[in-house]
Amino acid sequence: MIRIKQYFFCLFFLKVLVIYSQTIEINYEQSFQNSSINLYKKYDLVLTDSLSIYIERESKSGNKNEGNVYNQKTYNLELGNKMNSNVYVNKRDGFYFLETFFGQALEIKEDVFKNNWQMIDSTKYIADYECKLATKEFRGRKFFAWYTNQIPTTFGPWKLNGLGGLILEARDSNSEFKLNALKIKSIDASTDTLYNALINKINVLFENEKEILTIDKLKEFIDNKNQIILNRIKQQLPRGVSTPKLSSNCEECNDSLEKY
Amino acid sequence: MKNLFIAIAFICFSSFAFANEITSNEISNEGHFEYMVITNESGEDTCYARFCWNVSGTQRQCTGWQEVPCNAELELEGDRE
Repeated sequence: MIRIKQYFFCLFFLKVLVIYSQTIEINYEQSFQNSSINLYKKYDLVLTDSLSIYIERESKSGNKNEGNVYNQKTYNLELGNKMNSNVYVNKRDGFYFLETFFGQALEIKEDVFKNNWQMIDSTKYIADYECKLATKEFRGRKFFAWYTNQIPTTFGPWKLNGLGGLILEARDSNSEFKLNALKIKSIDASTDTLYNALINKINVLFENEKEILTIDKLKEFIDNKNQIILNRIKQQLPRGVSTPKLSSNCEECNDSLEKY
Repeated sequence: MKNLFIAIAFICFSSFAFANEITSNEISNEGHFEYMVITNESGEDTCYARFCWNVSGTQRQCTGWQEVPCNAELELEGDRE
């Protein structure tokens, strides 16, 4: 009897180990819609036990990103290119991302995320996966995430991570931000040249610490650019019109996905 | 409600005024003026304008609404090109 128990325990452990050590690619759709912004994008999350890469691969609104389709080997991570893919990378030494601010692609290293997820006693099935619900406050929004322990990982899509399992669905309390997993597939990391090329690109992208901004530096960059724009406006306004200031109660401004 | 101004707001996305100026390398982000006209019960218009631009794909920034002459857009530099 003890032997049978040991056998089943080993089998379970092996299964968990196989799932955990696999490289998995999850396709997501992600949207952010409010009164002034309407974004719909598709992302791939490449997940290993030590690294995750969440990379934009297609855009249906705004500028068409035709050169960044991961599945077509044409994703674009060239700095200085306005058509850059957004990328979010969890590495051993921290969380990095590449986003475009004022038309300029910037590499940014995040502060350590607070793991302040709160579990909610609710479960549902997404495809064949049993999912649990968790919630957290993050940069001015309250997020809800459905995650499954059947795919154990601390990584996740976008900046939502730190749960014990893979997030398959998430939204914020206003339902302005939404993401859904569409497809999960295994990658053979030893033979997949596309996967290896992506890893190399990511390593190169975030290798030079001097070029990587902190969140504080990003805020500084944004403030400076905003000030330049205000000065331009000021120079061109007709006489008698008061100096413009950034709005503190602009409804649309409060609609930003993140408040840094 | 009677004592309140009746707000007739129309927001025009004006690319003519500053867009050309702001598409320089230094400020490569596109921005635009938005206008609002409020007409009171006597039929008098008060005009307001603000300038909005995209900080990133998920972040937008605007100046506060400020009163401008109702023909202000005709007097802005670079508008007559």
